[in-house]
Amino acid sequence: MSEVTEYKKILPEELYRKLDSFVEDLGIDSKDPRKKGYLIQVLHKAQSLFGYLPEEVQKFVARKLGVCHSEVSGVISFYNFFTTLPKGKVNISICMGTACFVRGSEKVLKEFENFLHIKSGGVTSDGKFSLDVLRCVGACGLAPVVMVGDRVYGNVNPKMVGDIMTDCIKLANSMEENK
Amino acid sequence: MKLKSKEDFFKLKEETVKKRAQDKDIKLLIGFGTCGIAAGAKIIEKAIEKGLAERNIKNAKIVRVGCVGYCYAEPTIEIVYPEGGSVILGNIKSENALDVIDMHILNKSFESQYVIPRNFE
Amino acid sequence: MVKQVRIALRNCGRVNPESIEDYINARGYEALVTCLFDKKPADVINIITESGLRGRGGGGFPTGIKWKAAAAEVSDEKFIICNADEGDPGAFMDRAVLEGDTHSVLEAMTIAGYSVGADKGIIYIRAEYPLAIERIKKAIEISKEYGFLGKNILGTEFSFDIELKYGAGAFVCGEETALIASIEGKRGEPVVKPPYPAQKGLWGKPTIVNNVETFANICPIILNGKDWFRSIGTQKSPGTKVFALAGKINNVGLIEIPMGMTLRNVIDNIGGGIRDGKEFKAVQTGGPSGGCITRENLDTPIDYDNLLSIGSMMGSGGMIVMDEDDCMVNFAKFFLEFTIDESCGKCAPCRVGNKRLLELLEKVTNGQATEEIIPQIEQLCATIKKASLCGLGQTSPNPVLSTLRYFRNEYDEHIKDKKCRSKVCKALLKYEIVPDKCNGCTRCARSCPVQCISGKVKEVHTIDQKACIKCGVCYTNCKFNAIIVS
Repeated sequence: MSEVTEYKKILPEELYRKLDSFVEDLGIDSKDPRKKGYLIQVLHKAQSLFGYLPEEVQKFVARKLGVCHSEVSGVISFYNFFTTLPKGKVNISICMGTACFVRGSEKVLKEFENFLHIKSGGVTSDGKFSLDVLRCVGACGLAPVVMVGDRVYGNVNPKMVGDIMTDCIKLANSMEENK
Repeated sequence: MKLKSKEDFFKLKEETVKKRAQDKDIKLLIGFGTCGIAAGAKIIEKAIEKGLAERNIKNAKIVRVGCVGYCYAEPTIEIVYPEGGSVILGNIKSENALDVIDMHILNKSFESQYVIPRNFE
Repeated sequence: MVKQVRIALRNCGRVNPESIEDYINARGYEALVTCLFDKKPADVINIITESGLRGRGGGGFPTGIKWKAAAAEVSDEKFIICNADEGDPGAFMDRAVLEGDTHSVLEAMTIAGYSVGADKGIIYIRAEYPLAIERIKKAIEISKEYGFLGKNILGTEFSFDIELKYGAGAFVCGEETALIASIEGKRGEPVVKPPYPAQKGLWGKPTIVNNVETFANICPIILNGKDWFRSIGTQKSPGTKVFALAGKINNVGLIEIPMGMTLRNVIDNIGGGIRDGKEFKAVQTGGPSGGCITRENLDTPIDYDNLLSIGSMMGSGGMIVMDEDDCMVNFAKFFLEFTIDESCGKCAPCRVGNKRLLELLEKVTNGQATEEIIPQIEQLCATIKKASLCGLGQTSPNPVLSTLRYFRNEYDEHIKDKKCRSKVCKALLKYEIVPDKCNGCTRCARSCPVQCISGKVKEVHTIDQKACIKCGVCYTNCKFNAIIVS
């Protein structure tokens, strides 16, 4: 753990410890020419812990695996799943798969953008909500589909956006209270 | 139990097939793919369980299966009768559970407003 | 009525995917036992080759030939990769198989390992499929307990292990060399073939990459024989194909049809017709790499070669039905936006070309295009197709080319008449108030976000066309149907 304290960190030490022991458990041999094969797996874990992958986490992963920071950053920027910005407390995802698109998910997205005053990929200024699009959750029978956390809303039309947002606001408030 | 030979396998297979053939329960196959769950399969499962208990039915068993492909009618239940034949039900809501049990498990009916056409053999 | 034939989906919805007993009861692991004890690796490959099974991931490359090439290589290590990184936004058959019949994929991968002499299998799966991942993990564990996986399988000399690797959302990783790069922890950029992965794949070792649905076909072929498989489907494309039927169709769902079935049969019988009694316009297959099938080709038998000849492709199996309300130019734009998002950026024709192509299409949908734009679009498409490095780039103009081929009139209407007949392209719409129907309730004027509607109470209102932003709020709010859109 000695390396961990070498550079500035804002994110909780506790999470770094968890990530550290996850990597240790993988039992990677530092001389293994194939050790980079673990990179994406470790980044998945890191994102699930921190919620996003800012520079300090990237540096941590890079040192831990013995690869360049630039390579780590290159991989993160390549894959859609990884994000370097924190998401809102409640994340709203609009499916933009072909089936949902054909059934009008574009209009649903517009409505959410108007409601939250952010674009897809953005976070509201109070940090409560974020909005993004995803490619096919495979619930094409329910198209268009909106996902809020684990909850799936099917057959959504722009008129339902208000109701969904009421649920989201309730959810965000209850998360606040639980804190 | 680790199988160590061809014979081990066929012995296990024979036992499994025999055991299955002796099983005379009515099976309720509930679609538990991602889409089924998104459409409420878990809630339906609970409602059916409750309904079976309420009607004191002991010879019916819920089986969680994968996606059957009837996405338009999720959540779906296929009821398979031990004496042969089955019926596929779609768009089931939890308040329909008792109705479904009465019609398709107690009366073993092949027709109701819940039945959807089977489009493969 | 011609019905579906279920080979890849044979157990989906029939067995509990988490019960190995259910699977064994459904003839599970019998194919593996047959191979291990009664067949030489070369025999297995011969059966697969002679069955005529072609890769179900899209390209349709003969599976047996791939296996043969990897088997011929001499190496201390070989890999079997199952491509479960389903990227086509509108296809979910791989997920259905993995969730509904998990063991059959593991069994088929083990058979592949035995055939080519590999002892390691990797399932490369989308991280967005948590349920499938959970079930695979459980299935691997229980298979090991039973001795269907791991060291000395069923007491033989053959050992095989399977591990999971997660994708991270990159469509290009469906391309096998890009997928391999991703498993190696790199950016998923494709490399030039040859050498093919069967010669030099993961970590430079011979590697087979097959799609989930392809693997799902292996065990039935071993159990029932090549002649049985050849008796289904067509001469050049034996067997079945799973499609995710979605869009403006009544019975949205996962279907498995014998190759050679006509699209008409799929839509009218299996699909139950078009939703809300609307008019059929086209079907899109092949996702972002594919094209449209129109009314005139409804009776074309579906197989790899026929779909290619009418300008579409089999793809991984997305089948999206469109009706009169869908604008084909906008639809082509949708796929192009997807391709641009997903282009890995390695080669310029794909990275820059598609971006320019999108700009041209935007001109069309914004009403800024002139007639010269069509040849420009065609030329750019041809360049991208020819000069791109991998399958993603080479096929990216297909949605544009195919809509141009079959729906040229819609392009012309956008360009010459500045009209979108499906009323989708906003910039070309015009909202007007019908004087006879307007009673001056002021509702539209009050709801207009840019205050471009004027008129006194109880008098006919008018819309200032120059200021109108075409948001459609007045149209939805009018209670007297006094606003028309054209």
